[in-house]
Amino acid sequence: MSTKKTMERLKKSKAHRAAFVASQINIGLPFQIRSLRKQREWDQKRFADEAGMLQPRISAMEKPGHGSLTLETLKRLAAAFDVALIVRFAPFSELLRWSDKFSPDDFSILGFEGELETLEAAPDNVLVLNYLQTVGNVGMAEETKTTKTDYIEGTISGSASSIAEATNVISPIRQVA
Amino acid sequence: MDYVSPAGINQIKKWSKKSLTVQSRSDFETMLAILAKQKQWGNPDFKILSGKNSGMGEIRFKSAQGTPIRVVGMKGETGGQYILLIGCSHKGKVYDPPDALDTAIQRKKTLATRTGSICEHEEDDGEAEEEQGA
Repeated sequence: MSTKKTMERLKKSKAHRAAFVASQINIGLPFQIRSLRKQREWDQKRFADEAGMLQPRISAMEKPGHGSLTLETLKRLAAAFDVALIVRFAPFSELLRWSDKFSPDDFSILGFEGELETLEAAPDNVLVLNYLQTVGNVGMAEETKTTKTDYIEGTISGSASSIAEATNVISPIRQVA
Repeated sequence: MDYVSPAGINQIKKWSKKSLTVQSRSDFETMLAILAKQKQWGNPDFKILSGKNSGMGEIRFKSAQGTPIRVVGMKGETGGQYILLIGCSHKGKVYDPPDALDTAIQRKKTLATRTGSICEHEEDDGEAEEEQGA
């Protein structure tokens, strides 16, 4: 499925665009949930215990299109995985990029403890790059700093406002850390 | 890849357009896009069929209306290629249309005899029909 084909679909109507957004939740989220559970080497029972839910509910949530995933449920799952959950409105370009890149096999997110060392050790510019990649301004970061040393020694190209925005977001993280 | 009948009709595209809502079609395309990037397919998204249906498998997801959707297919001749033979819905143990698996077998045979063919998966090119069947 190419981005071009998806774009053709999105151009058809507002209903098609709304459907695309909903599909990333109905279909995409179950894949994300399963990937994170497997990354932690939890079976569904263990995950159910961690989330304070019943195993059949977990099973349903991992099936594409089956679970009714409310925000409350997602917050519980994020807490169980000890990861952040971002819910915000976004441009289609960002969602397109996300859906194009998303692969269950490669999707993994460390829990807070797992990324604490990185958060504490990394200079601001690494966090800024990570942030830019996360929000989809990948073009800037993709110029490509592939090793940690490169990240640290590299300079960030991009608009000053984007970097300032990213730094503002990161500052509270560093204060917590 | 989509199955194309001897008459030259892309049966997957036809089914998708005729039987799925805009939302379900979007879900279907999203399923395919994700599965295409996944090395191993398995439960709960995919089930290998057995008995007279061996050699085929079905992609499984639930439509926005809550109807379980099945898209039966088979591995293609080249690595990583998967051929979608028929799309249908499924309730309990009953497929709709009821002869969906027999049709899939029939289509598989037409591919073996080269009367049927395959093409790159195509999304429907219809306009925005707001609501259709499940």
